[in-house]
Amino acid sequence: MSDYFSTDDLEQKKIFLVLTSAGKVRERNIEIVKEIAADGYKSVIITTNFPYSVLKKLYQQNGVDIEGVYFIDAVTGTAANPEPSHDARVRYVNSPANLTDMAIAVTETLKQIQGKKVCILFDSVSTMMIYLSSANISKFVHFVVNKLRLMDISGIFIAVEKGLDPHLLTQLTTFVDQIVDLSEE
Amino acid sequence: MTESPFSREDAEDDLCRFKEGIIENAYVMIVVMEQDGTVRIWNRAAEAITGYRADEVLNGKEVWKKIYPDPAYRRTITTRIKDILARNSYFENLETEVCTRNGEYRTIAWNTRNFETKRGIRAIAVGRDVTELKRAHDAIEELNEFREAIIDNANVLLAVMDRSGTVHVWNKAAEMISGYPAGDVIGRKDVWQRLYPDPAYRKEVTAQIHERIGDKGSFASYETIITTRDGSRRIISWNSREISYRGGFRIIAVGTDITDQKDAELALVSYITEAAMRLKNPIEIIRDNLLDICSLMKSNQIGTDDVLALLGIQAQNASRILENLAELQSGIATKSRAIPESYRQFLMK
Repeated sequence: MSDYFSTDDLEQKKIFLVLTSAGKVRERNIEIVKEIAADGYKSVIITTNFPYSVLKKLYQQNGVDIEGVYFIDAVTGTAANPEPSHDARVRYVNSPANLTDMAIAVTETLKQIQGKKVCILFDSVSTMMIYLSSANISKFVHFVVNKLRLMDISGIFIAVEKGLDPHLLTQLTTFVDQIVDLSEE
Repeated sequence: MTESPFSREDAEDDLCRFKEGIIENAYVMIVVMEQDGTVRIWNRAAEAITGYRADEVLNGKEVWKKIYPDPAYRRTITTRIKDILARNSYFENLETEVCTRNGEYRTIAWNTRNFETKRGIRAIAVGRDVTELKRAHDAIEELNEFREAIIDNANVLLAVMDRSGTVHVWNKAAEMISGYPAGDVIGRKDVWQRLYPDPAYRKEVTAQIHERIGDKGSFASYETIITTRDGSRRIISWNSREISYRGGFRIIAVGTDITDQKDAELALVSYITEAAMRLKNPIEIIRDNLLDICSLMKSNQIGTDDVLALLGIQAQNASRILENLAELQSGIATKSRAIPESYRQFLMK
């Protein structure tokens, strides 16, 4: 199994920016969730790329215990109105551009699992480029990072290495504690 | 003592002939007249210039009507002469337009003086034909006016200064671009402090100019940012040359305001950057997602419903990219004034 983050990193509530190659975003997502679960952490997946229904299935197929995985799905609502889910671990946001609803969903989900060891995974910053300007993405990531620091929670942002403009990438690197560059792997 | 073969009468006669010879052969018109205008002397130059022979003119005053045929002009000249003579017994360089026999007009500069004879006061008028001189002068004046019109109406900033920076020419474009009128600039050198208020930047620009002028005596396409009177900043591309002038030097500086051009370039760069971020990269994401969907289908990791959901999301992403493109085009069309109207309308569709 990959070992991108040490237990100490997660214990120290570090925030990471994972840079990956374009064709490996899904693969990295699954590997990271597996690693987080293996370290005894619950995951909050903010997904702007793959819908909850597919991710859940893929996690299960890859041996992830999805009981410990919570979803904020900002992508299903863009294509169709999602079926009301009976799964308390998923919250839908109608568009990745709806940052207010996304922020509310993050806050509510973190409240839901308060007191537990939690790590947030944001997949992906690059997909957000379809819906938001660089400036707004930067503001939103800054908001989430501040929220995580206040709540003392670890976080991981996935981005396609060549999918961000240099200015945004520079800004993101100042928000996080560590860059994990997997683009060559 | 032997008597001289020449008598006093002979000597006076010689002097008289000598004077007549001078008068007759002078290159200027010499006219002697009585106070009522009756002509008593009309030399060869007067004949040559006016075309009227002495035998037609002498002992009459009709010639004045002939050479000044326009009564109004004649009255003006007469009045002017009377005014002058009321104050002095002479006048100098009074220019009149004389109509010659063949209808051509010549400009004559007159100098007159009164003198007394046994038969009363007479006036001697010496007329110099300054027609060609005046034409040359007019041509130079016209050329100067033309040059000034070109300088003033050029759509580039044109400044001429000496080595100390004192401005000698400041055209209308310079006034318009900088906001400083020529009256506030010419004869002074403080305009440069106003155009470059930051001392460090001014020092840098001055050093660059001295270096470039020192090397080759000229430079081209040197860009500086000036601060105009209203505080706005304009980018000027300078072409400059030092020339010798009346034993000293003058620097001719021609500045083109390229601010709009630079804005257009910046807008283009912004457009390309934003297009790359919000169009190229998202399209790559869609392509990678579609490839990923194919891969998941091949390995039977997802079912038909999942495929439909994923394809629906990619279609939604594509729609959003189109919206972004329209937004970008509209933004560029609105921002850049340099875009031709037909392109602007196309971009706004």
